[in-house]
Amino acid sequence: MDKEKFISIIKDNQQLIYKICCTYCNNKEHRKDLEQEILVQLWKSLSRFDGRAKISTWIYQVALNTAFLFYRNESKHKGKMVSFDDSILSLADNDTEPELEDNIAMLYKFIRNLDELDKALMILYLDNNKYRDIANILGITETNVATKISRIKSKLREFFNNNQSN
Amino acid sequence: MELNDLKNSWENYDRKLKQNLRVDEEKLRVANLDKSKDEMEYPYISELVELIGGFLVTSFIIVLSLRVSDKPEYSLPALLTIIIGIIYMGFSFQKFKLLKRVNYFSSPIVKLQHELAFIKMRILKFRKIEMLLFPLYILPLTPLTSKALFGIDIYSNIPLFAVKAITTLGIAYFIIFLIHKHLYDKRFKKVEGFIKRLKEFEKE
Repeated sequence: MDKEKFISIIKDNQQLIYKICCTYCNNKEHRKDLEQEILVQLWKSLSRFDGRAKISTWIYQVALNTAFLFYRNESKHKGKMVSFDDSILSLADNDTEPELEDNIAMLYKFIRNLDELDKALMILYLDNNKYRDIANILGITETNVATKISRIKSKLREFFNNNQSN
Repeated sequence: MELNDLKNSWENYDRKLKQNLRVDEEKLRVANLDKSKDEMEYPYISELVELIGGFLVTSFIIVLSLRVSDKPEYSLPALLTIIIGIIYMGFSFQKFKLLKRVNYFSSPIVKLQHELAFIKMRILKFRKIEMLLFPLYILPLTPLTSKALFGIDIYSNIPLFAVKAITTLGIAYFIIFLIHKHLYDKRFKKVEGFIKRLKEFEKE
C-alpha cells in the first residue's frame, strides 16, 4: 500500500479519528499519543483490509480497539510513544458558533462520563452508523445495540435537562 | 433541548471538522510508520526477549554445572535451577503464543477485549508462579556460581550457609507475599471486574 493512498484515506476520515481521540482522552498530550497510535495501527493493518466492509467501518474498528487499549493503560503512556513533535491532525481557526460549541462541549462531557464500551456505542450512534454496522463493530447483537442506545438516550435526556435547569 | 437537536448539533460539528481539520501530509509522508513504536507489539516482543534471555542464562548454567558434574553438592542444586529455568522458558513461550495470536485489527471490540482480558489473567497467573519459584531459582545457584566464578566454597561453613539460606528464603517469600497481595491480587480483581462489565454489556 502506498503512502499517498493511505494519506488520502486518512484525509477522508480525519474527523472520525479526531472525534475518537477527543472522546477517549481529556489530556492534549495523550490525545496526540492516541492519534499517533491509531495512525500507526491503521497503516500496519491496511494490508489486511480486504474491502468486504466499508473503509469507515474498518477505521472505526481499528481506531476504537486502539483507543480501548490506550484508555485502559493511559497512565503508562506519559511521554512514551511520541515520535511526531505535534499532532498530525490540527483544527484550523474557524468562525465560532457559541450555541453549537456549547452543545458539543456538553455532549463530550456526557460521553466522557460513560464507561469505555458505552463511549464507543455513543460515538457510533451519533455518527449515524446503522445498527447492523454498530453491532458488527462492537460484536453484539442488533437488538442489544437498540436496547443500549435507548438506555443511553434516556440518560442523555436526563443529563441535559439537569444541566439546563442548573 | 430535544435529542434530535443534539444529533443535528453533532452533524454540524462533523461538517465543521470536515472543513477545518487539516492533515499534516508532509509529516505523514516522511514518518516511518512501519518502525514506529507500537503499543500492541510491545508485550509479545518483551516475552520473546524474556524467552531468548532465559535460554542464554540456562545454557550458561548448564555449561557451569558441567564443569562441576563430578561434585553432586554443586551439580544437583544447579539441576534444580536448570529445571526452573526451563519452566520459565515454557511460560514465556506460552505467553508469547497467546499474545501473538491476538487479532487486533479485524476483531469486534467486545471479542477482542474478552480475549485480551483472558490473556491478561493467564499472564498474571504465570507471573505469580514465576515469582514464587524465583527464590528457588536463585538460591541453589549460589554454591555453583560461588565455586565456578569466584572459587569460594560455600559448603566450608555449612551452619552459616544454612542460616543465610533460610533467612534469604524467609525475606524473599515475605516480599513475594506482599507483592502478590498489593499488586497481583489487585490486578486480578481489576481484570475480573472488566470481564464482568463485558459480560453485562453483551446481555440484552
